[in-house]
Amino acid sequence: MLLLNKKEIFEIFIIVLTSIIFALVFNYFSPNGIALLGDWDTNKGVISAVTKKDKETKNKEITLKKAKELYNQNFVFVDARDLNSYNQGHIKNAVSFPYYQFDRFIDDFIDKFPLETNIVTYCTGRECRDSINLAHFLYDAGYENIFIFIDGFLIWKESGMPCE
Amino acid sequence: MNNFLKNKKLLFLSRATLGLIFIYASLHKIAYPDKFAEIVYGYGLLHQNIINFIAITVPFIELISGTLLLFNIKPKPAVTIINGLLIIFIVMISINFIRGYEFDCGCFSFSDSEHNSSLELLARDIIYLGIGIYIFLNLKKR
Repeated sequence: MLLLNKKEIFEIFIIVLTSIIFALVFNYFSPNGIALLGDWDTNKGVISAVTKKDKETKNKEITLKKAKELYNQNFVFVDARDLNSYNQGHIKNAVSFPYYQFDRFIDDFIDKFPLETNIVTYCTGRECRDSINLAHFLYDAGYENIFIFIDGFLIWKESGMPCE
Repeated sequence: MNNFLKNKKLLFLSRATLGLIFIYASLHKIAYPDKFAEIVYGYGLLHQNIINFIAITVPFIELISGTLLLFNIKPKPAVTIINGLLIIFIVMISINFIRGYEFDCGCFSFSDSEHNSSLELLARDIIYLGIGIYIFLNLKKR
C-alpha cells in the first residue's frame, strides 16, 4: 500500500522545485546573499559562506607573520570572542569586544579609540568567524584601517607570542 | 460527531502549529544564509560543495511547505516534505550525538545565548515529527 499517490508525489516535486527556484533568485538579489560555493577549507583561510561583504574584506585577512608585524607597530588588537574566553587568556594588551554584544559596546569603543585607529580583530582560529563579523561591523561604524588575524588566539599562543 | 469535531480541531491546531513553526524557523535562515551555512558546516556531515546550496534552499522549502500547511493548501505533500526534513534533521543530530561531535567555536548558533544541546534539539524534532505524522495519517483518512 502506497502512502502517497502519483499526483501527490508529483506535487511534492513541484513544491520542492519551486522552493529551490525562489531561493536561488532571492539569494541572488539579497544583500545578505551568499555564493553558491563557500570556502570551507581551513587550509585556505577562515571558513566562509562567502557573502558580498566577505569578498570586500578578503584582502584584509592576515596570518601570524603579518599579525606579529602589526603587533609590533602598536596596532590595537581587538578580541571578538565572548568575555569568558577573553578572561581565560588573550593576546597581551588586546581589548575585549564580544562580537555578539556589538551594540552594547560600540559607543564606549569609539570614545576610547577614534575612527582613525589601526585595528586587528581576532578570535579563536579559522573555524571562528567572530573576528570577520566584528570587522564588518567596525567598517560599518566608520573604521577604515582594519585587519583580520585569521589564525587567531590559539596559534598566537602556540607560537610563543605575548599573552595574558 | 463530537469526536469528529474534536479531531478536526486537533488537526487544525496541529497544522497551524507545525506550519507556523516551520515558517518562523525559516525566516532567520533566509535573512542570514551565511550563519545558517556555518551551522550546516558545523554538522560535519555534508560535502563542502553542497553546504551553501543547502543553506540557500532548505529555508525556502521550510517556508513554502509551512505556509501551504498553515493555509491547508496541498497539506499532504507539504506535511510529507516537512516530515522528510525532520527525519533528516533527526538522523544528522543523532549521528553527531552518537559520535560525540559537538561543533562549538562561538559561531555555531545565531547568538551566543541560543545554543541548544543535541539532546534538546533531538527531543524537539521528535515532538515535531510526532505532530507531522499525526497530520499525515489523519489527512489520509479524509
